[in-house]
Amino acid sequence: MKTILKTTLLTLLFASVSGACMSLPSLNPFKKEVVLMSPLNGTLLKDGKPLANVDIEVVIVMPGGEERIYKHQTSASGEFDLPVIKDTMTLGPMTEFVVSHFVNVYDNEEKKTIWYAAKREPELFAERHPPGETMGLTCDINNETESYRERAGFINTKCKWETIRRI
Amino acid sequence: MGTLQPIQAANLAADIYTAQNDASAEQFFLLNKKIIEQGGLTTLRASVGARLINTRDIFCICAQGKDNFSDDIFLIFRGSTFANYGADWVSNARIGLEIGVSGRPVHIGFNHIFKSMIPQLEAFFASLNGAKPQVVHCVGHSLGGAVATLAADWVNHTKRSVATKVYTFGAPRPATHLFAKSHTDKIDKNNIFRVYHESDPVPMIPVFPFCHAPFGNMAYFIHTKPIIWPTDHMIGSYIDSVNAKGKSWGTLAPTGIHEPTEAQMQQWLESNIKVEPSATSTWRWISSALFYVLRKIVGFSLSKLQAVFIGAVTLADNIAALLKQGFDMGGPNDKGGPSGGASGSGSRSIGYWVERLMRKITQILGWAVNVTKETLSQAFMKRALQQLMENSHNEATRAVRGITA
Repeated sequence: MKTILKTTLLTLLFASVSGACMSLPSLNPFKKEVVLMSPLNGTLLKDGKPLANVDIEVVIVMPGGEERIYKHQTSASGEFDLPVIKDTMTLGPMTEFVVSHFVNVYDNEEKKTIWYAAKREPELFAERHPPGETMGLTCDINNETESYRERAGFINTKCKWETIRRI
Repeated sequence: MGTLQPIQAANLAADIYTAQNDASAEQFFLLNKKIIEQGGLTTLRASVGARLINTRDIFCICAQGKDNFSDDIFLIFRGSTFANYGADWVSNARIGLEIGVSGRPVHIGFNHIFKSMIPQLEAFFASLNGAKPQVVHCVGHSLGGAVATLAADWVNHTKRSVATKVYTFGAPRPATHLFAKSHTDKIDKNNIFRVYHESDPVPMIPVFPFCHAPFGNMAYFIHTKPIIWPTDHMIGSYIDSVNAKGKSWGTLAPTGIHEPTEAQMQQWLESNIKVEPSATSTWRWISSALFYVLRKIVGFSLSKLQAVFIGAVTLADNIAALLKQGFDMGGPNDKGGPSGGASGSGSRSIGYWVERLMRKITQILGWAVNVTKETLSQAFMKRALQQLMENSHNEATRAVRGITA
């Protein structure tokens, strides 16, 4: 956002000084590091009891539908810690992008999605509000899935956290 | 008969972008479970050449409503995708007209995208086992908005429902005046919810003879900035505006801009105030001025005017030929060429207005040329019109290329 404002102000300043027609800031594409998935950690439960050493699968759905899969596991006490996933993309200065991700767990070979989030902005925690408060989740695989909508994305999840604001 | 509130429609237009494959489309259904019946996942892909849109992505979601919308169907269309970064749908390559499903001239490119989904739409409606929906709600942002309008036309023409409602955000112009008038008469202007930002360049294109429905430029107009500002095209920006200003359609209020009166049009054409290409009003005025002058030439007959634009040659060729015809017409006070004649605007010849129009166009283009009877050849007018169309599309293309959702 700062880059856009800076470019815009410089363009307008140049236009006013030079007497030239007011024109748009440059919209040339540029490479940018984007966050595909913000970090996520918490405890995995089944009916309130920790699920130890369970396979966790993170599936990133890229624009166009391509899937990238990352494997993890819960600890002996059911805790999981999923790191941030980043990439570099070619964007326009005003690019709105959409990337979504699933967090699936396997309970006796049955796949359950405990977390799905779609983010429409590339910044860290863009899909969550306030940022960072969705850390330290408690995710019971038998919970109902609830939806949470934010300006730059939404979450469908079985997880709970301190400052839940359901839609 | 239920109507989506502004934020519901804007959210659906945004959420469709996240449906990148069938698994994420299921999440779209889950998110919207308050208004959409779960279980009947139907997704459509448009199968037009990859230069127009990416064929891998889901382009439309068909869903059955619930609660207030229990007898209704939703058809939600998406705009440009990351994979078609080039946004070729907005380029000049496909600009042209063809007859749409209801027999009116529509944009070739948008129509090809829509037509590629008709067999899938027919299969979806057939799956309803004869139950006729009360309302089909067609929703979309950007390209999705243009296709949603054509979809509503198809739904109405093929009598798939009792009523049709259309909700578009920052959509380009999908068809012609003749289409817009017929579409508005059949669907009812109160069922067409066109939302646009003043500064969004996409609703300004393609230039004349394309126009929006409902007829008469009525729309839910959101004042933003008086200059073209591409970020105001993004769906997130529309969500912000709707959240801030439009809890209901009543509070958003249709404050659309009406076509200028004949006196206002003549005053603008005769004024020597410098026209500013980056001002949103410039594109509105030039489109209205083209419409005004061409209608004068054909005696204000819409159908006669539309007929001119269907043909093998390009739009610029057709419009230039008609303008030249008008320029050569002269008029009751046409002494010594179109520039001469009486002093009052009301008695000016048609040729005079063609000349004033061409002066405005060359000003917008920044051409240092003295517009006279000698310079105004058909070839000159064609070049100017082609450049005008290209310039307007460049503004919009730059905005759309920024959207890689």
